[in-house]
This record gives sequence, C-alpha cells and structure tokens, in this order.
Amino acid sequence: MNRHDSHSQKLDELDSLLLDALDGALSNTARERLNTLLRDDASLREHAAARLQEEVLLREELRTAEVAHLFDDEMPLPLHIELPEPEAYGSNHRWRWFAALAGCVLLAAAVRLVLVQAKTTPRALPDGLIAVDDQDNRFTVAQPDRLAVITRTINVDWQPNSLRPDMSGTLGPGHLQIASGLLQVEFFSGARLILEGPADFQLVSPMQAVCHYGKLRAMVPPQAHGFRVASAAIDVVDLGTEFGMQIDQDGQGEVHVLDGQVALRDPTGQADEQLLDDGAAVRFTSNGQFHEITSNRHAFIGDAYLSQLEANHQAQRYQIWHAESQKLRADPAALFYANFEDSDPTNRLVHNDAANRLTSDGAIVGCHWAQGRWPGKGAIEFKRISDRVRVNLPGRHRAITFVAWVRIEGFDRWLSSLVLTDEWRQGGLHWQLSDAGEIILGVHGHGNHFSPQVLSPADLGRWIHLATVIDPGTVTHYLDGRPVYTKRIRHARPFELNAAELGNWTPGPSITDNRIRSLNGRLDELGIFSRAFTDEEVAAMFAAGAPG
Amino acid sequence: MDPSDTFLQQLTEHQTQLKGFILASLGHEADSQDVLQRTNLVLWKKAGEFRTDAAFLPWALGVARYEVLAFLRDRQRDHLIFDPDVVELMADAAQQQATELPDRLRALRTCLRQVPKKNLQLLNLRYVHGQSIRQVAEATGRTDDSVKSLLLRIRKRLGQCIEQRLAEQSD
Repeated sequence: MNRHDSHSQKLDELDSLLLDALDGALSNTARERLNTLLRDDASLREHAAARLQEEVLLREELRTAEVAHLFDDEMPLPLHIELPEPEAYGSNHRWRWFAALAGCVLLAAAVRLVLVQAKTTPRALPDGLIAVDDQDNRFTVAQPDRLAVITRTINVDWQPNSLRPDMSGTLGPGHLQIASGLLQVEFFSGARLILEGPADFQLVSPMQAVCHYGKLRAMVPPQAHGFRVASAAIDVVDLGTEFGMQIDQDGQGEVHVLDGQVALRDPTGQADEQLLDDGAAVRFTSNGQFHEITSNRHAFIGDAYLSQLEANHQAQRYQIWHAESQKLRADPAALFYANFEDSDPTNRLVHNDAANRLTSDGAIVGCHWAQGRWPGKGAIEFKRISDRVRVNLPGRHRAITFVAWVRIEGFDRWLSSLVLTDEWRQGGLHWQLSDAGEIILGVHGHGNHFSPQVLSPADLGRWIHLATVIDPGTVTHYLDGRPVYTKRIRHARPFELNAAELGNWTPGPSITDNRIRSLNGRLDELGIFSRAFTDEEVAAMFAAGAPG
Repeated sequence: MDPSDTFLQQLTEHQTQLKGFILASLGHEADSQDVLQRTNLVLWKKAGEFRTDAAFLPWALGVARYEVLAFLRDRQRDHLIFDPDVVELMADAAQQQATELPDRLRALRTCLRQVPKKNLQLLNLRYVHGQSIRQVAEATGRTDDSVKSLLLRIRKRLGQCIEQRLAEQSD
C-alpha cells in the first residue's frame, strides 16, 4: 500500500469517527483513536476543522433554503444575501437611539439573548411538536437558579443596581431595590409577596428572603409554610397564612400577623423563639428588642387595593397606547393597520383602521375574538390549523415594516405564520416564527433572515412586540422594541404583497414541505407599512403598547 | 457610524464563523452551543471595548478561544470528544480557516447544486431537522449503516468539490 492510499484511508476513517462523534455514538476506543489521529497529523486536523465548520455551514445553508422551499423549482439556490459596499448603508440615524441606551439595558438585552438561547434545544423531529408539558421542565433545568417570578408591577422606579427580572419576569438570587412603586413577587415555593418601595429586598431561595428595608405583605399557602423573611434584627417564619412587615433603613420596624401564625426568631440564636397569632403585632428595634403594639392590617397593601391600583394603571396604559395607535392610523404609509378595538364577536371582519384606507378590511376565517392586552381591548385568536385572516395588499413598495403585538400560546410545528403572502411568488414576503424562537423574514428571490433564538418557552402566553423592517439596504428584526438582528442587503426589486394571510398560509401546489404554518396564539395589533420604521419608532410603539 | 450599530451588525454577521470555530475546537454539538452562548454574552459585555476601526473577527475569535478553554477548565466532563491538548490544536487549525469561511460557504453553495435531489432530502433530514442517523434510517426505511455510509459519501463528494473550488479561487 503506498503512502497516498494510507492517507486517504485515514481521511475516510476520520470522517467516519467525526460523524459518530456528532451523532453521540462514539465509543471510548474510537474516541481515543480520533484523538491520536488528530494529535499526530496537522493535515488531518485541517481536514477535521474544515469538515466540522462545513457542518455549521450546511445546517445554516440548508435551513435557510428549506423555509423558502428548496425543492420548489422556482426557487433554486443560492438564497443568501450579497453584501453591498459599506457606503451603501446610509441609515445612520437608526442607531442613535441604540447608542442612547444605558449600558445596563444593553446588557439586559444581551443576557436575555443568551439566556433564551440556553433555554431552547434543537428540534428532534421534522415538523416536530414541542410538547407543552415538556416546556416548563426545560425552562427550570436550563435556569437552575431561578427562584421567583414578578407577576405585577405598578409604577416601579428601579434603583440602578437592582436585580431586574428577565423579560419573562423571573428572578434569580439577588437584591430587588426599588425607589418607589409596587411589585408582586411569587416565589417558586408558592409564597407571594406584595412589596412597597422604597425597599431593598434580597431573594435567597424559594423559601427564604431578607428584607433590608421596605414594606411587604406576605401571603403564604400551606405548601410554603416555613417561608422565612430575615432581617438584621429579627427573623419572621410564617406558620400560618399572612403577615405584614415594615423595616426602616436604620433596621427598626414592625411585624403584623394578618392571618394565622408566625414565629419571631432572634437571628443570633440567643433569644427564644416567640409565636405571634392572628391580630397581633410587634415593634422591634435594630438590636432585636421588641414589644407588642396594636395591629393595623390596613397599613399593608392587600389584594383588593392592589387590583384597584392595577386597574387604574392599566387604564393609564390603555390611554397611552390609544394615543400612539391614533398616530399609527394616521400614517400615510399604512397599507393595513388593525388595532382590534372592535371586538364584537359577531363581526367577521378585521377593520382596517388606517385613515387612508388603502386596503379593504380583513376577512376572518375560523378565528374567534378574544381579550387583548387590557380588559375590554379586543384581539383575534388563532387556534385551529384552518384559522386565518385574509387580507389584500395591493401596490409595489420599496420598503415594508411589519409590526405586531402577539401572544403565542405554543409553537405547534416548525413555522408559525404572522403575515405570509399567498404561495411563494415574485415580490412576496413571509414573516413568520420558528419553534426554535427565531423571527424569520423570507424574501422571495433573496433568501431568509433568521434572528437569533430570541423567544423561549417562557415567552409563551405573554404579550410580545415583534417588528421587522426591510428596505433596499437593510433587514432588521426587533423584539420588544429592541433590534435583535440587522443585516445589510442589496435588494432593488419592489415588494408586491397582494393576497396574503395573517396567522396562516395558502401555499401553492408545488410546495410539498411545511405546508401547515398556522399560528397558535392571539393578535391584538398589526400594522403593515410601506416605509421603513426607524429604531426610535419601533421602540416608541413598544413603549406605548407594553401591557405591564 | 455609531459603535453599537457596527457591533450588532458585526455580531450578526459573524455568528456562523464563531459557531464553526467552536464546533471545530470541541467536536461536540451541545457543548459548542453552550460555549457560543457564553461567547456572545462576553462579547455583548465587552461591546464598549470594541473599536469600530478594528477587525471584529480576530477579536471575537480571541474571546471564543478563551471561552472554549474556560469551558474545558471549569468542567470535568466525561463526554468531551477531544482531549484538552487536541482542543488547542484544533482551535489553531480552525482559527486559520475562519477567515476563509465565507469562501467556503460560496463554494458549498455551488457544490450543493450538484447534489442529486434525493441526497438533498437526506441532508435535509439531518441538517434542517437535526435527525440522528438512527432517526433518518427509521424515516427512510434503511439500515443505520447504509444511511451512515451514504452520508459519508455525500459529504466526501461535497468536501472534495469545495476543496477543488477553493483551490481554483486561490490561483
């Protein structure tokens, strides 16, 4: 056997070992052999590095092609985007807003991006269902340190160094520091707290927290009995159901038992535990001395008052959104804009609220009306695979902006439609989501733009703001008002949307794969504009419409 | 141009190269995904340090390399594919190839057109839908061995086509 043969045999052996490695099917002996081959021969390392990088390229390339129907004869490869010269990229103004973001906001977005990616796993089956009961599990496994979730926020003014919830509202250990406002925190143990600012409240575990100062009301169900709020002077252990606590910045304060029983403990362990019953209250000093006082249950904000505050808050949010919505309606570039305010269940049209009325109303097929972001605000619900809203969007356009407030209930298959033009034709655009949490814009004759995996199971069931902007020079995806993907392109051809669907798709007969792309979720605002929104405009729409 | 403008754009554009570099250094899919996420996080944190006139890729690869090594150091993993010394050697090889990855991608695109439709569907099952050899075998009614050897043949032909094109380009 000559030298050439033996080298080519080694290459084949290496390829086979690498394939097994990627398939998770490498035996220990084979693993040792693989390492020996690579350790001894630089040319084999080059070969292996090239093959492994091609794994990534193949995945990206085929996946990009797949959405746009690789096997559709009218859509041959290549599908990727050519980069223009740098000077062709002229929309500098888009980014000033981004620069204005404080470092912590940028970082929060980054942490989010990364956390979200950590939570998603590659799909295992073609068009595979991500089982709903699997999702919570994946979420907790991927984020072992999460211990509580913020379920209500009312006019909260956060301190700069405070622990902040990620966008799904969950918290790990750390200090919640607020200058004012109200927070409802639900621990994974089941204990629930209403926290009033100013406060410095430290989350330690699902069963333990430290109140450095501030005012709180704790509601503890039987599952969480033993829930403990520590402080410098005194530890309060819940043995019943409800107590209030208030601590000044200098460490003195009060404990009121509103229902059930609590145990007061000396953090130094020197004094005996003292039980305090329903209706009792004590005032304590910073060194842990305490005496009984008259209980005042109204000193602590309870559920009823919180609900009332929240209703007022929501009414304010609704007013702010409504004003922004009027601006969007008046936009001369609005091709179709629906704010779903008309939620009469017998109405089978989605009213095009755009003032210019360039296009007709959308026709509802199958969907039902449901509640939107606020009580009394409508939304349309997509549930069955036949549910859809048909629209017609005439004209040729240089740029398109899609914006939507959606609540995704589940990713039932690989692709979920937001707005898809019928079939897959010249000038068409496909705005959709993948079950891996990517925002995708498919541009006919041009390819697909995948955002990073920005959505996760934790985002299911919450209102999210999505936007995608394409003009001849740039594609940008946004989640909750922030850009999460941007790419320079060169695309001179105009967009011709014509017949299209919200929340579903009518594919052409030539398309054989991934024909079902129905959305599982609600839509309570949707705009399609024939101009490119700026970062500031997208951010403003998010800020004005955020339900929280 | 604003620094964060350039940054987000550069990070978007270089994801594939970072992914490729990390996978080539570790040879393990899920670990690579973890390290890519950490790398992205560190890059985001350091976005302020990034100078718009500097080359993004060498900077980002430097961070990725550090994260690969930190990953090895932090975790005593029994499922590592490459031994730590081989990881370093593979990272060297991958780093050298990272700059030519766009050329490799162009070559791959051209070469993919020569792949028969039937074989493309197999690649599709594996790379788009992430199926294992076993799953592909079940879905297509073949044996595991025949799927594996077909995959190896397709990849070998693709690889040869790519190398040939790269060689032509460099002439």
